[in-house]
Amino acid sequence: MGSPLTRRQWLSVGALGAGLTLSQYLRLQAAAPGKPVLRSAIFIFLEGGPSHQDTFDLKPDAPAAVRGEFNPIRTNVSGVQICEHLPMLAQRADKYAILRGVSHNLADHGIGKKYLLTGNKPSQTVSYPEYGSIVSRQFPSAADLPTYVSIDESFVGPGYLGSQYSPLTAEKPRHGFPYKVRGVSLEEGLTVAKFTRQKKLLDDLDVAFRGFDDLDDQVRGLDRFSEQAYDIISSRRTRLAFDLSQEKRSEIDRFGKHEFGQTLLLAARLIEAGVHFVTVRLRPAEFDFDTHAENFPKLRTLLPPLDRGFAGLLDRLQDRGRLDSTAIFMTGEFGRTPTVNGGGGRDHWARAMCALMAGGAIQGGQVVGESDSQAAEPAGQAYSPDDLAASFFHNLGIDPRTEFQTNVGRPIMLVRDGTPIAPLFSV
Amino acid sequence: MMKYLLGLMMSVASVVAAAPPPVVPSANRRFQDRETRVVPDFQRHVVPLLGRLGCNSAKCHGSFQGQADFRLSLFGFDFAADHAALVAEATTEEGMRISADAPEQSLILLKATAQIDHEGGQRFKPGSWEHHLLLRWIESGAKGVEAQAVASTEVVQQTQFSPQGIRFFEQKIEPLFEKNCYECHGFNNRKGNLQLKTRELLLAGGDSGPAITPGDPEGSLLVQAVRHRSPDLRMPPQRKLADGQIADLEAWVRMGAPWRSRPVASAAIEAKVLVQLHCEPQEILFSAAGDSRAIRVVAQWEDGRHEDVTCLTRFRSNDDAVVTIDAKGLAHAVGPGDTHIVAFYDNGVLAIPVLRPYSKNQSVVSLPENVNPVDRLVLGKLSKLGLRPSALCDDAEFLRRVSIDVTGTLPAPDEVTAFLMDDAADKRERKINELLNRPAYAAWWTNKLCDFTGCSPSAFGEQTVLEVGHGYSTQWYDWIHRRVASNMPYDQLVAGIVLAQSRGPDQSREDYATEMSSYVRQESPADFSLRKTMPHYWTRATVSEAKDKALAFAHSFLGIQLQCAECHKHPFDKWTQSDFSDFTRFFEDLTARGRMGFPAFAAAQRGKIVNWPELSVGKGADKTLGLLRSGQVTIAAGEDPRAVLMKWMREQDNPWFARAFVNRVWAGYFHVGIVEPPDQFTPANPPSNPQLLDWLTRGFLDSAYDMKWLHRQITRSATYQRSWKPNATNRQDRRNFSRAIPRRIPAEVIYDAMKQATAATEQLDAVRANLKRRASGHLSMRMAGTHAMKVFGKPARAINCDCERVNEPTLLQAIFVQNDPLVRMRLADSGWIIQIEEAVAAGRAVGEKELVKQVWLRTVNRLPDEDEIARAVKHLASVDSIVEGVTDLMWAMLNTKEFLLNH
Repeated sequence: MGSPLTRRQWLSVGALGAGLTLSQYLRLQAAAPGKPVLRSAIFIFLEGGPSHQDTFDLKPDAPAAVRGEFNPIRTNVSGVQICEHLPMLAQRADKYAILRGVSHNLADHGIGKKYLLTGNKPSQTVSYPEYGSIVSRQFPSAADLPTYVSIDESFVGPGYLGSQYSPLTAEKPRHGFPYKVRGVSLEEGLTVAKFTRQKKLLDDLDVAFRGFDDLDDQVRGLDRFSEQAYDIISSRRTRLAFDLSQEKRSEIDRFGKHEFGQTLLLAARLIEAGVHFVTVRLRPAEFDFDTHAENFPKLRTLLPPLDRGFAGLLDRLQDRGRLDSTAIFMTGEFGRTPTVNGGGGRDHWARAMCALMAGGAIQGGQVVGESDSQAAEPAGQAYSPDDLAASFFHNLGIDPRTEFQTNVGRPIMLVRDGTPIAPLFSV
Repeated sequence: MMKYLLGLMMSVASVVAAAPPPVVPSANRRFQDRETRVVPDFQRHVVPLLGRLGCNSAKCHGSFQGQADFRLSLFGFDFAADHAALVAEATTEEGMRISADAPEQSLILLKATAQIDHEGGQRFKPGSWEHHLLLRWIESGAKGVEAQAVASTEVVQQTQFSPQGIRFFEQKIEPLFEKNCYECHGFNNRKGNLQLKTRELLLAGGDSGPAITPGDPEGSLLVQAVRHRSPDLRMPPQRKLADGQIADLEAWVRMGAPWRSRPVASAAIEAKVLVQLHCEPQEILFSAAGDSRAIRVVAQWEDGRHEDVTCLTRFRSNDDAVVTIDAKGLAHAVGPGDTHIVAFYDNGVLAIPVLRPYSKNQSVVSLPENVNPVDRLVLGKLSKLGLRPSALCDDAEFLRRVSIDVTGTLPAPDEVTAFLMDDAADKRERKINELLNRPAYAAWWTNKLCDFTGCSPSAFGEQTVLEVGHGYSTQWYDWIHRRVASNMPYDQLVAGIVLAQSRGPDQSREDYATEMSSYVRQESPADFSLRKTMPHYWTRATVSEAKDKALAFAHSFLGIQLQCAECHKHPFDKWTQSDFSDFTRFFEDLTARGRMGFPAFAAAQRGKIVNWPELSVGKGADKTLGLLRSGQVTIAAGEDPRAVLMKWMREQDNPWFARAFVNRVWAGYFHVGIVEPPDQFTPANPPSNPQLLDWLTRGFLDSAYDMKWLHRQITRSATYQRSWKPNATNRQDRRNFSRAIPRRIPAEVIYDAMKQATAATEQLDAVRANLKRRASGHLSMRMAGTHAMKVFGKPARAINCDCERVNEPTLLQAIFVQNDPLVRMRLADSGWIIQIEEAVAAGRAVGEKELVKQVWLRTVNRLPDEDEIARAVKHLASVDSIVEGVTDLMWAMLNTKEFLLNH
């Protein structure tokens, strides 16, 4: 960036509410010339609380009422077994780490979700930000792209960081339908040409503060964001990033025709285009792991798309050389009860659960932590959601002890009670 | 009134001048010499020194986990715990933290001087006064704060349990609860309304009654439940506890259910009392960058001792762009403006005003006799700063601004033209009065009061269906609305919330059920807002614990933030944990009984009579409590502690109640409050113009809490009516109201304004007046949490902070206004544009200039100038149809800064 910056370039520094000044931005870019400074991340949240002992933490030796109906199968990592309904992931176990013996005590959907989506126990006095908002704040995208995209709507939001770190919300892709991103997709016959005509008219008429553009933050901010919004909405790059019809048939098939798989494909496309963070959280109506009744029949339909979609994501990122620069974290809000209930279901259980991490510096092909013989409690070292969050941030190159200020001037550590789980990163 | 906030520096200064007491020289002089025989004091010297050195900060040993296994209380003030930690043997290192035999070899000295490895680096040099001070303290016996025999209910309550009992609880019972029970009955979770987080909550019990009867395992529900003998009462429901665990619980109940003493700072009771801090100079006036000035701080203790504590004081500048301050108390001028330097020592906080004028032009403007005192007080400050105020704004700008601020509504096109045509000198005055009498005024300011009091549909429990929450919160809104509309005095309105009762003293349960059900039935419902009091403030699930009530109350009605003091000494205020725990006890006898679920609520909507939760005010016991350092009050058993609070708030010299409201109303008309943030009344955050806040508060009290008096007094001032356009002196001023600062219009106003701008002409009045369909009216609750409201920062009303409402512009807002389906829909379905379309189709003439004028009147509420008309008409000619052109114009104007800002 040796040439002088145009006003337009200045305006487009930092996306999604970047708080960076130009000089900070340039410093960040200069920090490691030639190397990508930033890591991107995909956070996958399985709504409802997936059964840990029926997916990645099977207990074949437990009594039938605990063991359930599924059998373990071998994976391509010796000594590691997972559920028989995850055969594709079994063939790729060297690419991810399984965290067992994760444990907390908030077995209610509302607060349990808040806990796992932020890495901090929910509090009455502080609203903690979700992961993507932190990344949005620390690693703003520099171009005509959003930094942080959430598919579907986010549950927690940017908390104490402020609404400028909210995600752009994209609807989940539906096969055969055009993509839709609220506020970004051009609908009802609106074309880029027509939109551009309107924007030109706006520039022509927005005269009241002319000559006072740098008077106050509010005036300056409106100008800057107006330009950026236009760039994103009219951007070919953004439109293409969201447009799954650009994908080859074979890629579509690789992720599976299910919404979950297609959403992961969209997430991969966005990361490849330069978006820094994608949260995937399908609504429970579509992908619901809250199996209070008929746990096993439900999982027989839920696990195949999970298997294929997640395997597709790993393969795709690997093929495109992105796996090393993309931190992946998949979890739900809690696990499920050790004993199968009268309705063939399992209820909420937070004392033991599991999670998956991959990409970046994560050492794949290992199981970290374990649960007891009933999958009821951690056996040995227990890991908390705070530890998961700290590990995720660590993988992203963000110090989990980074301190932020809330609006009341209270210093707050990104993850107060967690530390990165060392074995995840050991070689 | 101001003696509370400013007294520290003003009134006391004169006392000092009258009889200068002998002042003990500062520690850096007295401990300069290694051979000194002076004995340092733990509270006066050691703890403040550790604070100034940063040892007890959150990043170091003040962290709740401690650091390297050494933990100090965050920001000090738990003298007993800090002393115990210092004299304890270090567990991670060789040797003693403090060595009586070889003081020089004490770990705390070797570490802090970095003679051995210390993650925190060198905090002071060997041989420095800091080193000598700590060394002398160790040599002289390393004494802590001496215990004094002070009777306190807290202490008495805690000594009921033997150390063995407490240990039993900590080792056996608490982990058992943690592991097996808290999932459902712990943090934020209260199945069957039962929580097991404190002994009091166990005794209070849940839906089935008290969980334990101390001393009687057989009579304790908890013991029965864990035995799994009755099919209806099995806890935990999934798995029976081990026999040993059940036996532990039985033994524990038999012992009387001992509980760990609460981490109340008992040390505060024993601590020496700091009367106040004095400083020299009391005010700093800089004239150029690079000027500097040394600050000296003297502590005055209750025992009469005065000591120079400058070297033991933490300093902070409230605005580094104006002044910076170093650790030694030397202030350096940076840029023009005004701010404060704040000094912290022990639990004293002292703010020192610092001012550097923007220009030399400090001429005093001669003011007419009848000048609005608001203007007199603001201009007084401006002249000190060498700031000239901007000119008055023009009529169109005034009308738009005052309509948004008073009624949350844009002026109607006809209203604008009529106002511009009006030649009368008093037209602004008349407009203000007219606006204050509109229902939209009541709606908008009710919406604000709902912000302050936390009226949220989701506040009634995680599991409660939103429909029930909407029912409650709409009643809450309506109740306040009726009172704002009738201009009920503010103190009476608040008393109706603070002293609220669910069931009247003579009301039977049946009558109560009938009454409450009647408010929600679909067929001719009774009017909840006619109820004398509004108890939902207390019965919402988010304030079920006494401490949550205390935090919410302090925020809603006093404008202060106490949450820091829940766990540690407040870093910017005098509040300690014992202040907080005393305040919490005012609310410990208030409980919401029962819960409203959706089935019952729906039945009531269909006309059935169902049972409703109610607020119960327990009898309690006699207690004497400290009331936020405003003195001790005694509450007799059976007396409602809320009445004591309300009486205190109504005292004329209450430091917060009226003042907090006055300040919040001011903040509603400007970009900031006189105290900013408005809910942070602390000595470290003084008002930018104390005389102004004083005068308005006095006037508000003299008017008997007349809210409209306050609105009128502010809006009729020249200060409120100034242009945003800066002059040569005041471009940088954002603190002293020398000009208007453009502000993004609030979420609800934007939503309603877009609807109004695109409405069919004959629909305009209805769109403006139908409060049931307004985002600042009934939709305020329905729309909470929707995409549009979140994007524009409408508060969720979930935490106790005015900062929840966000007015910063963001990228998502720009994306929203440019292309959100909601905005596109407003344009596509615009009744006004459809009228134009129909007129064109019918071959009727549509004057292009007239259309352009209408677009401007509807959006930026002024007439376009000739140049604007020319550009707009040119655009209309350039597109295929007039409808397309007008749509473009409307879209463009909705996206202008002039529309999005209140200026």
